[in-house]
Amino acid sequence: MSIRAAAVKLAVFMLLWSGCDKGLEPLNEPSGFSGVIRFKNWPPPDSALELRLTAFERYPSDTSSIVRALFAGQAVVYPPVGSTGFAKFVDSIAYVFSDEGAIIKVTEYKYVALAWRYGTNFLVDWRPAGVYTTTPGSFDPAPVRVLLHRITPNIDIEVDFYNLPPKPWQ
Amino acid sequence: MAMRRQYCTALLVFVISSNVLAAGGSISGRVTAGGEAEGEPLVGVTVFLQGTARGTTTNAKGQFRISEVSPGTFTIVFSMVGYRRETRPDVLVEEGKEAVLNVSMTQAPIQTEQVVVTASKRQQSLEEVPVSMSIMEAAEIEQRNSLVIDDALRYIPGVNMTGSQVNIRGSSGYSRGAGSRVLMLVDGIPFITGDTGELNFESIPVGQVDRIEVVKGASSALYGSNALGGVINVITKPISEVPETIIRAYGGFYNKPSFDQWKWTESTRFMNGQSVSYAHKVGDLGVSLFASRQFDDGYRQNDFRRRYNFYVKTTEDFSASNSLTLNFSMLYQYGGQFLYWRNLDSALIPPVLQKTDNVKSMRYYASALYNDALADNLLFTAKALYYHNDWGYETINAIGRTESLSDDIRAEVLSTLFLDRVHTLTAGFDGNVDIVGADIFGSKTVGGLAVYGQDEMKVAENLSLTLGARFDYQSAGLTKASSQLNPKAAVLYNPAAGTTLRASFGRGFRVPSVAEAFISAGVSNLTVIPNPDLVPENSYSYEVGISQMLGGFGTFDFAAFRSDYDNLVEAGLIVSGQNLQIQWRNVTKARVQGIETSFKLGLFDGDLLYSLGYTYVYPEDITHDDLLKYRPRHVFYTTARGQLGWLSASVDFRFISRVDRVDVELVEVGIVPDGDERVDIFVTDFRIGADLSFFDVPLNITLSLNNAFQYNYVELIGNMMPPRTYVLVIEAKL
Repeated sequence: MSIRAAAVKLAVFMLLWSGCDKGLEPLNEPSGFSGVIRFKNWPPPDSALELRLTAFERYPSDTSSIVRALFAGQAVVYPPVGSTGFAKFVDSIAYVFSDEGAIIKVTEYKYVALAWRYGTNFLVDWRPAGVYTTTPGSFDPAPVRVLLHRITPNIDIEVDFYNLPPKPWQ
Repeated sequence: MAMRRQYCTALLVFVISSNVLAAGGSISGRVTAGGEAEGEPLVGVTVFLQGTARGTTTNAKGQFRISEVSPGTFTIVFSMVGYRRETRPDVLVEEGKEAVLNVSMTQAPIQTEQVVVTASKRQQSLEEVPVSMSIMEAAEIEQRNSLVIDDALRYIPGVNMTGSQVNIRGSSGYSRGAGSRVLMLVDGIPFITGDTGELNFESIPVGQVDRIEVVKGASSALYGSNALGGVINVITKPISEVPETIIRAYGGFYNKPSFDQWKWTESTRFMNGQSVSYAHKVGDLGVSLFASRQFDDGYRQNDFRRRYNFYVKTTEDFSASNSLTLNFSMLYQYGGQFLYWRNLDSALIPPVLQKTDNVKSMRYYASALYNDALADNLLFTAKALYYHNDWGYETINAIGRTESLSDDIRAEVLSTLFLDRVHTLTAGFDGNVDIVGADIFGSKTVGGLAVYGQDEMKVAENLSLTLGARFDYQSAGLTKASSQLNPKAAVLYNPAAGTTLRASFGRGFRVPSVAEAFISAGVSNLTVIPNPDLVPENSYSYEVGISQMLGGFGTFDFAAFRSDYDNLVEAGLIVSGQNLQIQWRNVTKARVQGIETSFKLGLFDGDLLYSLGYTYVYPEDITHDDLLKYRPRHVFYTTARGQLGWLSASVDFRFISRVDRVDVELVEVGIVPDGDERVDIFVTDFRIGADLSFFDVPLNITLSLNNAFQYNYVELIGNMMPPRTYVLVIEAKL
């Protein structure tokens, strides 16, 4: 076979091959964590206005650090701000906080808590209602590591509106 | 004192020999086309007296004249792209007389005897070059509608791109815009940014490029720092004696992404651009003007681009033997900054924090090139360049814009002496100063001086030997003061007509850029820290090759090469608790060896052209007993082009094997999610064109379908390349 014929055949083969293969494809494997939030002793409806799960890369020490973290993407919220929060007056909620429906990074979140808005001031009337911990009966926060294309399970949170965790910020 | 003066005078007389420019005689004539277009004048044919510094080009009527030629016998060479080279030996020039030569040139399906200028810093035939070299002509660049020079480089054998960084035969990986192991020249003058030491392809308007010459292998013996892997010389267009106005416009759009998950907008993403150029040489003075505008919505979120270029070139022929060329080019560019994807499921959108990042730059350069044939056998050249870069980026985390200003000033003088029929000597010295003021690099002034020399010896009719060396000294402003001696040697042997054997050796080095040594920046828990202890990288390159002409219809070239690198600078990731640090360090001893072959075929008087190039490299990281990052082992290109009257069609295909190693550290710590997802690359482009000048309408129309099979791939981690793209180009030559 001449060089010319070999080159032409090689080119045609490559051309056909490239036409059949599509290359990279989405993995369709979200990253995030999931769990169940269990509730006890709901407050009256006029002070149970909004509930959202929050995850902070660094422990929030004051109000300004929360705002900074939110703007810098170092704190994330689920359900996302702008959408309806979690259902209220239920015994439990099973959730999946992933990058499919919200913004979450592949990183370690030091503080994961359920944020509760108890008043009408959207900016300041918030406090933690429950915190993720691995020490039952305590409010010691436990870190949650988000792995790429994995939903870390069992990030469960107990909420007792009569026994709330301390506010980590001033 | 008198003794010294006598010595200098004697030396000068020796150097200029007996051929000092005097009244002498002259050579004139007319060059016309043969074959189908018989009798038509050929414009822009290079005419030179072999073995001398004298030459010219034909004017609009195909006429040429070389005056003030010392009496003697000369060999005259006529060369032009697309035509077979013609040689007229034993042309007698007599005092006060004019030798007249009328030459007819026939079209060549394959160009085998191009005139190049990069390999030895002088004009010579490609077949006389003892190293591997590729040339891309303007026509090829225009056919592909390459918007930036790096688009065109993707089709040169042995060259591949990682993002916008160029890699010649495995010399470079990806250094995130800091430093380059390939030196770019514009009209022979080094063109790298003063702060980051990178090649900024956008600064050179593609519409004004005459050709791109690529020398493969270490070339620091002539060009100094950065020429470890090779040299890319962008030659700008000469100014036409016929008034020429070119108006060009293109418009196109990106296809929708292949998968619904990747759709991030409902709108079609468009691109468009317009350029206008005018060139005219009247008598001794030529002026060329060019302006362009390019808008691109981008196929990825926050990846839009707005680009404006302005360029002016002037030439003044003071006499038959000396001329001055001045260039000025300005680029303003603004666009989003897409560093890497959010992850493979969201491949066309950036991480949340980078959604508004943007980068703005203003870059301009001015250069001067003075050529003077002091004698028939002595050419003197002086070059200077001033290159200003002002770029800045804005991120959500930063307060205000982060800016970097740099000025690179270069000057060089060189002489080529055609001493006799055996020796051609080239010698010169150059110097450069970089003045940098940047938020992230600090204020630095660095520079260097160099002297070099080379002797090309024709030791027998079919055997040539080249020896050369260059000494460089770099200031202490960057790292430690350092000096480099870079030798080169090459041999070229023609055992039979059309067959050329070559072997070469060269040393290369690169001084780390200001950016690599002094960067200090940080985002979130990721910081980039300086390393003022960096020392220059260096390499030794070896090559053997054979080139064979296949009758009048093709060429074949084969080369085997090896480069040994020491002190390669790489960006390393340091994990310190929760903090991540990146620092450039001299870490790697490496060896890259491989083979390269290329083949060109032209049939039916050039109406059907076919070419392919294949390069295999084995890039060993000896220090880490692994493979070097971002070096594909197989690179294969092929192109076929057919022309039938006013219609033309072409197809380009390229295959680049999946790179063995990437910055896996950035993937593991989560900075580039799914960054290790990569595949072999198969890209096919189709084009059809209509040349309406066949009907006396001065229009050229080309429709391109790039990445026709919508193949999804990355060159750089986390950076999906464009999907299928439709582009229509209309060009009017008035």
